[in-house]
Amino acid sequence: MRLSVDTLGTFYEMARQGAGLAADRLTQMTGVEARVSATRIEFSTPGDVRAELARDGGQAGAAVDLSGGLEGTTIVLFDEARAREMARTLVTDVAGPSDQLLESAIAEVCGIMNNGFVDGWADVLRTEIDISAPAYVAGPSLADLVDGHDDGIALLFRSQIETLGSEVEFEHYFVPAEESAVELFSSPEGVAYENLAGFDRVAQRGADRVSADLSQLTGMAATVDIRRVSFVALDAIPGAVPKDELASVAFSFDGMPSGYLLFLYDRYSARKLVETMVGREPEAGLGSFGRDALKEASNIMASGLLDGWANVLETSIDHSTPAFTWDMGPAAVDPLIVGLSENQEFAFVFDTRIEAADASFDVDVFVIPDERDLERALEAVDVDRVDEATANADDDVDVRDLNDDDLADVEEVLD
Amino acid sequence: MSEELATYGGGEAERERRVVDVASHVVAEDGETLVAYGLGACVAVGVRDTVHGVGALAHAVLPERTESGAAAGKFADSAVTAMLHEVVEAGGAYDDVEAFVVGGADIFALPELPQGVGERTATVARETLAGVDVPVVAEAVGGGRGRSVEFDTATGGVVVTTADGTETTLLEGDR
Repeated sequence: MRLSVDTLGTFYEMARQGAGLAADRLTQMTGVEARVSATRIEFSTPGDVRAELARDGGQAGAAVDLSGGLEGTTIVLFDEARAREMARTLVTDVAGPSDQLLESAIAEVCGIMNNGFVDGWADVLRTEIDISAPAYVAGPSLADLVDGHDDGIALLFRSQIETLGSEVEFEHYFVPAEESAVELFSSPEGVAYENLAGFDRVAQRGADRVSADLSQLTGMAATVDIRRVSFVALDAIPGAVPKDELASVAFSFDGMPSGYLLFLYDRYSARKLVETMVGREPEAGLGSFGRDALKEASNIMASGLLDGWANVLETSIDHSTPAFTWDMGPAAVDPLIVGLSENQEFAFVFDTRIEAADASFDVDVFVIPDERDLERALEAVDVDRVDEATANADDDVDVRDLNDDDLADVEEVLD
Repeated sequence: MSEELATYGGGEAERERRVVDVASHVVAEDGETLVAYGLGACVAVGVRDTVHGVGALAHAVLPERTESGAAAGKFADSAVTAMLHEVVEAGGAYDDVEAFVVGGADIFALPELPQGVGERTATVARETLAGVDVPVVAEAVGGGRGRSVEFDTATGGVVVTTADGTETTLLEGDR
């Protein structure tokens, strides 16, 4: 089944509006002002969602079944502790509220939020959707709520609500029945869904290379937390990065696909990474020496990441020399957004967090490809062969050899 | 349009503070403080009727409107037009409106990035304002640093902050 970017755009706007409505309703119920700071759509499959929920990430919320004009299941989930905290603000007139009361308050909040989303979908589809009463859900049994073939469609709308200085993330899973999915999304042209959902593995391959390169550079094991490929409005991306002062290294890349790549380090991580690489503490603001080292480290990781993509996509991707800035996170992202905004409104974004195993530093990596190039790349990739290509890439490229060369570059910079 | 609450003056006085997201504009009729965070190449354009105290702030991405469906606040020209229209609708008058422009920096020396877009966005904002005889009374445009802007629409005060925490008063309140 194919999805058109226009359809995804419509769904994105509905998700954003639904999240806004959800924030408004939260405000009304709790009396605490809330705003949506970011929304994105992630592409998954019922099989992956089941596996994810079965791992029990300590979440709680409510599930409802949809019928009538749209069939399927939706689940709104918060971190359980935050959900209980929120529920307590609703039942302040009850001293020592029981678990049962808190759970029914959570179900009520999540149910009302869910109705906001579904009302939006019904408007767009010009149909009536029946919604079952919200049921409180939590724990590994959440996985049992997800019907459908392992490789069907499952969407995750991930939103952040900012309220009085803290950010609360909530997840809204939507697993449509197969016929509904075809009716909702199917388009004669566009991206094949299985390629989109399967592209995570391509991104994973790139991120693994970055992690290996980083470990080689610093001598510390690094772990990769790859989030799924997500679909966002370009103008929402600056809102998804910290407002703090960050060390940012940007690249443009050209090939299939082309686009921009951005590495974001907080102050501590930037200093720690430089110190680990060069063996001494950098001066305040890193200094030109430290900045060069950070640029070179990012350059090596950029090469690894894009080589990882190119191997799987059987293409070549060149990238620019690095550009550094020490500035507010959104200010570092917005020039890239401006660069793409002339030709596209939305982007498929790949964001990854790589952490040193001892948690001494981490880096957020954003890959923002040109939309049309990425569509063509997605079209070309045979997802069934990704694992095979990945295995071959391991044979073809010895990361240690690559890094020996690249480390020589670092030494050159440091000399 | 979005909003959040912030407390000033040790909690004695509460005034509303509204964040103006990328590619949007907000009109404040009740003296709220409007905030645009992390302007890089983007440009914030503020307008205020100094007599009636109605103010508005846009967080524009590009100079000129090219797509009809996009939000007015995304482009400098349509953002200025929409804000002036809405300020007048909210009880203001063109003759009493002043404007300021902030942002439009070149953050990365990346040749592949379109250079000077921020400056062009600022230029289009100035030209659109000049076309309706609205004076630009203050600017902090260009350079290589990102900026955040806080616009107190009650007093007309505008403060620009850079990443290192340096605060510059672009316009004094209650001039």
